[in-house]
Amino acid sequence: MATITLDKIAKRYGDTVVLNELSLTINDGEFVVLVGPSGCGKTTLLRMIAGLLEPSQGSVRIDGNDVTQTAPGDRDIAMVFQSYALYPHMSVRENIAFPLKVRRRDPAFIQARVNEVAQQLGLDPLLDRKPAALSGGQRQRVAMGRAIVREPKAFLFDEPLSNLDAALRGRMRGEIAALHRRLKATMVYVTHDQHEAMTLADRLVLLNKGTIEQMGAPLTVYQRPRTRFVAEFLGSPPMNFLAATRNGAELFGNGFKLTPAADAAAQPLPEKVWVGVRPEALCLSPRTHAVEAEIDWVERTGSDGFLYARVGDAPLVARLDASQTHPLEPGSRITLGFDELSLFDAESGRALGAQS
Amino acid sequence: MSAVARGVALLCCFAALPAHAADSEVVVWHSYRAGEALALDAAVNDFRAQHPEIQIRVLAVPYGAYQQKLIAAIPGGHGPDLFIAAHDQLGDMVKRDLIDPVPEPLSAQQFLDETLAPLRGPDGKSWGWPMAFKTLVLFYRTDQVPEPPATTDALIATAEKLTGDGRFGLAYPLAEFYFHAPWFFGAGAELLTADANDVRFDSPAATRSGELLRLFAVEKKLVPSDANGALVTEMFNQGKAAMVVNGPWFIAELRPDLPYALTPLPILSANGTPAKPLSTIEALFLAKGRARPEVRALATFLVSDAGARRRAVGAGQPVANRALYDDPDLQNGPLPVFRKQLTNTVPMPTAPLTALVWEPLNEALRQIARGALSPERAFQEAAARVRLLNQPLPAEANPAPYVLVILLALAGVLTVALWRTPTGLLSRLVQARTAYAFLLPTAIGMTLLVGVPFLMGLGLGFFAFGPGEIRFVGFANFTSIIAAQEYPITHPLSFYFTMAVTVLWTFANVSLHLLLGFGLALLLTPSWLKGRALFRVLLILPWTIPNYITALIFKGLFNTQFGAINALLEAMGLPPVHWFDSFWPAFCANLTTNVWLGFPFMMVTVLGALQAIPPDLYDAARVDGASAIQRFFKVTLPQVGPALVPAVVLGTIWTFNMFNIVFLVSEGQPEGSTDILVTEAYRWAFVRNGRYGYAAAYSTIIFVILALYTVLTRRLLSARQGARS
Repeated sequence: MATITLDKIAKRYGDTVVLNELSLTINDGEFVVLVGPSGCGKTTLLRMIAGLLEPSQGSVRIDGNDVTQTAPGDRDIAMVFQSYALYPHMSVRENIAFPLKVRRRDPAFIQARVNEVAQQLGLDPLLDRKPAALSGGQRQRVAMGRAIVREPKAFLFDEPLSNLDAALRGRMRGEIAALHRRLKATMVYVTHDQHEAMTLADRLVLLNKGTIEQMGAPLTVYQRPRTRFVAEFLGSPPMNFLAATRNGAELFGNGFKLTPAADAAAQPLPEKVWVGVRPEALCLSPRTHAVEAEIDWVERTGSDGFLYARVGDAPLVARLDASQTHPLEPGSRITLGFDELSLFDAESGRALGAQS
Repeated sequence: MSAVARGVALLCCFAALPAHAADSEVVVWHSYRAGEALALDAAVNDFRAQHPEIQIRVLAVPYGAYQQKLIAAIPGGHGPDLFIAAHDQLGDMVKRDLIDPVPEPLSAQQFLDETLAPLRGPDGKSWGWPMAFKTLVLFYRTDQVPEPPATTDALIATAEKLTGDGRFGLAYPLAEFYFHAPWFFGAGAELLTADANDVRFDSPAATRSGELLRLFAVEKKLVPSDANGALVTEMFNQGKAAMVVNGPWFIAELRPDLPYALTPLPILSANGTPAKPLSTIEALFLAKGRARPEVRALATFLVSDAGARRRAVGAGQPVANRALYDDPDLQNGPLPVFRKQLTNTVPMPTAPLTALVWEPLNEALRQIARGALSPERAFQEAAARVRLLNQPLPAEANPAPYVLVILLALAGVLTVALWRTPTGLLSRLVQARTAYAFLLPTAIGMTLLVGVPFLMGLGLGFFAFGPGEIRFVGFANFTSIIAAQEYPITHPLSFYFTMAVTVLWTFANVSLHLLLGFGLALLLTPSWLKGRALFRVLLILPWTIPNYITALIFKGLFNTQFGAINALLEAMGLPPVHWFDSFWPAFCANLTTNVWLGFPFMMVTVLGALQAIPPDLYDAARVDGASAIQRFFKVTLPQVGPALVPAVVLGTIWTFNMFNIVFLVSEGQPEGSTDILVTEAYRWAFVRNGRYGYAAAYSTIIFVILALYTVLTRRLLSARQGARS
């Protein structure tokens, strides 16, 4: 088990900065998910932990030892790739045994370990097959077996589920979570999928343009986004944003007027703000706050109903109970109420204190 | 039976022929080129002016297929009325009944005796009108040789003074018997016994001629040992060779302003006899049954003094007519020298056995010229080799059982095909007629270009070709090759020796192709390498150049005296290597050439396969702890391997049959030991007295070996793949 420390680590290609002096400590046994949009540097970060990429600057420490210049194979970490990277010419057994074999471990030990791991992952009947003869989920499990087999200090996952279909992805998510519970190993998991990030992480690290935008427990990050970027990234559908101008204690927008809770006034609001409302916070009756909206269209998914509307020019999505959406027709005007809102500085995108 | 065999064999060998000539027209064939062709045309035009009523067609037939075309065309009533050919084909043509004798007696006042004699049959009849003769004389640079040597001692003394510093006193292709013949016959040696059934060059006289060659090439080093015709011409033009033994055709190759003169070949100092080169008489022959008056009139005119003058003046031809040598216009030219030389010549022998002597004799000369064998031994071995090659044709076999087997096999195939064909085949064929229509042109093309020649070649292996004779011999050719009883297994003529060389050749080549191709592909893969694309293109270039051009370039590079490789060795202070004097250097020269040609194919294949390996696999292996060497053997190699198998199979087949390189670079030297199966098959057909059947059997055996190899590799592969999945 290991603590991984990244100290002012940076990666540059010429003038292009991929990671910018980023520091992060991943605690022993912790499940950290690196999440962010494409190009945010999350995979680069993971590959630098693995040793597949050399940082332009800064250092990587595992359990206090500087491994920045250590070869990947000598860092005692395992990695699961998005493509699984199974050796196509080897059987499942040979694939799982490979890390032990190249380390010249005792054949009897290798065999015992492989069998143990195969049993854990339910791969026993497949041991003599080639990867080409496996399904996506089975390949995924072989890749995990190859990582588990040598009991590394830490596991790195690079978008391991993105090549699977939705149903399988859910199941494998559960298996990875169970694996973490069982092994209690340090795990660093890269994904762009917020479901995986929210469900798996002990701690969620949201990256944007090579820097950490926000990190913390998934629910905390979800509920208290520190920037508009975080609020927009987490949540599906994402948070709605309405532009507003402050006038005294009131906020005026195109077609609405809001009075934020009194404690918000404790802190002077800037003149221009974004009002953020989660789609699930909206309902069809007036609450603390209300806006007038015109319905564009309605989507019903069985349990949920998604209402796509406009407040003035700004688009707005509301997530309602499917039964509530039945009388609604495109073109009609309605009042949407909500209690909770987030305020962001229109210029910097930073969250403002008031959250109710 | 023999007629059937002949028909089949002719069909196998010879292409379609020009249409029948109209009776009113006189058709003349020749294989002259350039000046000689123009001079002949001029003479014909003179005749046309005198006889406008006679239609004449003159056809220049390429020399390569000349004789075969005559053999095929004349009996069928196609072909020429008159044709020009060399006298050494006379015996064969009479035997094949292709020509009629000259209807009227030829005047010894008009023609030189030496040109009449070789054309005379045993009954005293003339079988052709003599037109010209070709023989060798001594050319010398007047700026270097003040006094042409009259004896071989004088020749040696003169040449010694002019040899050194990359210059040679004398030059001619040492290892070609035609150029050695002056010394051979001058020393009193003979090629064949009086009855022409055996060779006679294991004689003291032949040995004496060999001693002279030794003196020239080994002891005094007056003659470049590695010079072919083109090199001799270049050396003489550049002043690097002061004297050259050559024929009338040489004049056209010389620089116009070159200071040179001709003189008859010298007298052999050892026995006081003049050197006697071979002479070839070019004659006009009358095709069988074409002695119409207008044909005879044209023939008489072409060989008349007026006709001959056209050729002598226009093309410098040493003509057969006495009168021309008194012609004041030609007195100062080269013709009188040839005329003088003609009195000391030996006519080119015409006995069938002579076709077999050239290759062994050339080999003997090569051995003497490089000092490997004493002249006595060399000529003895050559004689032994001719006797070895001069096997009687295998006994004629009864074709009936063979025909029966073929018919039964055909019937069997047909029965099985009909039995296994599902009903309604016809309607299905009709349904898919559009598809079959599209396939038809290819099917016809493949049948005509691949299928028919293949079957012909297969059939040819069951016949034996003798001079003027074709007979069905069944499996005799095959059994003779496989049993290989005539030669010990270490003899280059033995099938098993050649087979072993071929296998070694193939294995060495494919291994080096693979090693070099793989290595270069790995070098060219890293993305940080600057100019990768440029290197790739440069390294593919050897593959894009036609291989015979590369072969000729390498042949030049490996030349013992003038090649760049020996020059480099000498510059480094190393002794020059005689590349084609012993087996391993010659084999390595071939190998180097073919490796140069072959590695790009493997490199391209490996490059493609390397690029198909996902980079993730390498990352995974690195994280798993595999070292660079482990990554190569456990990831790269197993991934590239499957792509390499077809390339190796193909490369093996190509190399196994890589005719051009062996034929052009080592030419089989020494003693045919570097020959591979295909070049050996070629030599049986085209060098050793036209044993087409034997050569075809060789080809069939090569085909069987390669077919077995292909089937075997496929079996092994599918077995391995089956075990894997």
